[in-house]
Amino acid sequence: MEGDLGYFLMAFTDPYLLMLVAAGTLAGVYVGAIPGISVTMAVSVLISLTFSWDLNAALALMTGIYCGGVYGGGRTAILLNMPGTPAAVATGLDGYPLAKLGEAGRAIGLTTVVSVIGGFFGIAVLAIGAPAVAETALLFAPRDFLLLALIGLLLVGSLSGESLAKGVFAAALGVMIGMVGLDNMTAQPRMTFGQVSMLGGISYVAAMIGFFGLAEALFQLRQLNIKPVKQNVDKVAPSWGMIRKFLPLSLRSSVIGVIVGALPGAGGDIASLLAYDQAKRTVKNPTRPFGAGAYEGLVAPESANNAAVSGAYIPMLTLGIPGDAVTAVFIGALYVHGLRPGPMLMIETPHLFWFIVGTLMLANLFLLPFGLTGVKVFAKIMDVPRGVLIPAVVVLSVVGTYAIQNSMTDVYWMLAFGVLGYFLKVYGFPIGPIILGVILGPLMDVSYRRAMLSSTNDPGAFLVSLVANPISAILTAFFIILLLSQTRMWQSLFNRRSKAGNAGTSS
Amino acid sequence: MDEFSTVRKGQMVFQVLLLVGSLILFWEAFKIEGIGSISGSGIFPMAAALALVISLIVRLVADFRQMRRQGAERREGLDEGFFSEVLPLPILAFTLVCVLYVAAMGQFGFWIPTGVFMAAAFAWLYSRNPLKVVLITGGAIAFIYLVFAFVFKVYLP
Repeated sequence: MEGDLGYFLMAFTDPYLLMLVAAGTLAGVYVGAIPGISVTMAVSVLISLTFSWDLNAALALMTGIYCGGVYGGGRTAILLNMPGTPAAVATGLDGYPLAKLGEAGRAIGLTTVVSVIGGFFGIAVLAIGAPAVAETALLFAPRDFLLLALIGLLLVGSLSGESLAKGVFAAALGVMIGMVGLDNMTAQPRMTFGQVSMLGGISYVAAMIGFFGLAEALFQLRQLNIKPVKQNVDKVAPSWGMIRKFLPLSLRSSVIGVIVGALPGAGGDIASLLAYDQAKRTVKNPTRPFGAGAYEGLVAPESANNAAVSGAYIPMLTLGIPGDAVTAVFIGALYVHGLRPGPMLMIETPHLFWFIVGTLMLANLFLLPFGLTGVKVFAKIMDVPRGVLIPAVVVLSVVGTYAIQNSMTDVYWMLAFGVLGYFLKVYGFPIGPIILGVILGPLMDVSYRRAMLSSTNDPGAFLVSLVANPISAILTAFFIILLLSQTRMWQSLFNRRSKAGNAGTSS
Repeated sequence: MDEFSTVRKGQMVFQVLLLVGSLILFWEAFKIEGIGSISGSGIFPMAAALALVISLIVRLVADFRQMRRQGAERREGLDEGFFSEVLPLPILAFTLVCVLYVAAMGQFGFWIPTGVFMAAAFAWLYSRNPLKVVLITGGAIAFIYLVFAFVFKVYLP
């Protein structure tokens, strides 16, 4: 216990780590705020740049960037109506109207405070819940990991795009990329087209940087000439009365955030939209109508998306299944440092878990001063012309990709994925499921084959095993419900029932 | 939601190309060990390739119906609409410049192609003022050298 506390406080007491978390959080606030540089992109590039570092130092920097980035995305949503990250889409719905009413400063201040509240709530759940989940996860059979991974891919595929088929395509493409190379179980070459250079597989860092870095840079060229609108920013710090008034909503939204964040595959973007919707339905007398500058419309998504950050760590650390795209990248970072996230990680290296909880706590503490000060400087830095930003992102993508294995082949792959990613984005295919597929594909492959082998290659016995014990039965039921919920029959049934409910209420 | 999403120029062609690629991937997956053991090494790649093929067929059918709804004015094809809506010429040109940049790196190392690429890109996308371009390029190169060589200590191509 004392040892755990020591690791929890490590980032607080070691000046070097403290400085890295602070620098990461500050950089994250700006990275998240600049449309065109996503948090996932920044963390992807950082993996390759920090892989020669000590693991704690690398994690401290990346955790800071993650926390700061999710928060920073809300600022541009408020000031420019351009969400810096997908998790800030809902923030702009009321944040930008508030800015137009001349209340941008107060909106940013309130956003900062509720983000920190959401962050702390998520950290508490992570600290209490993750060890319990890890203990349960030790009872998981390979089939359960297969089901969890399938649930994750289905969730992210169905929720993140305009069509389920496009989501499934993206997830399957990621799985396919993850399949290239020698088979983990038999060392048989797979999907290599006879090329020796492909025997080692495709670097997932190259895929991540290609899809999130270069593709985004090319996509941003479409909006090269959009001029940001300047806003007046003053009176940033919110009053105690305001904080007290919105505290219950902030906590309610944090619950949604941490639950959605903990679902494999679903992250802050979905959490914030759900929390916004929940606030819209449950708040009876908002400060202004939703969509016209209601503070409630700001509090709900911002609490939820920061709570989702810690929530996303739960499946990542306990099951080895990413909670969202950024934690998928974190899994990549742990692999690079020779660690395998999963139930045994919590048992063999509990210090790592408590160190991450500590850095998350510290990053959230840093959010307050960084969020409440320097807003005017921030507004200036945010105006970095895209004509400067885009070439810089291309060079960073090249350097980041090359650094991981010193291989030009990886750079060529990154370029190819970047161009493919551009077209996928233009035609409305979601990119997030691709990265989850890359990480989850090999896990699903091995889990499925082990489960099938333990059922003596008998499909009937395999299907029976999916409902043979409570854990498998619950996961199977969840997977089937999720699958059915995507069908038209389910949706029309649900619509009919809600219409009937509304009619009953109104009569 | 599908009913209301529009089919963009070149979308059908792009998806057909993806379908062809997916079929090739399926064939490559099949070649691993054919329809062998149900827990064999080829079964999952085949399943993933099948998911690619089926999802694309579903999209193609839905988009075909949507196109018919959208009417004759948005007929599919690589006409001038494709280059204004999907791949504007500046993006096509920038992509080609990126390809040339990466190709040059294989021949000339990192610094010279990066300097030329950045100077050309800044001049094109940001400012025509040669002094400004030189200053920004020089600053960016110095920043990369300082951060990557000293802070992150990474090898550069």
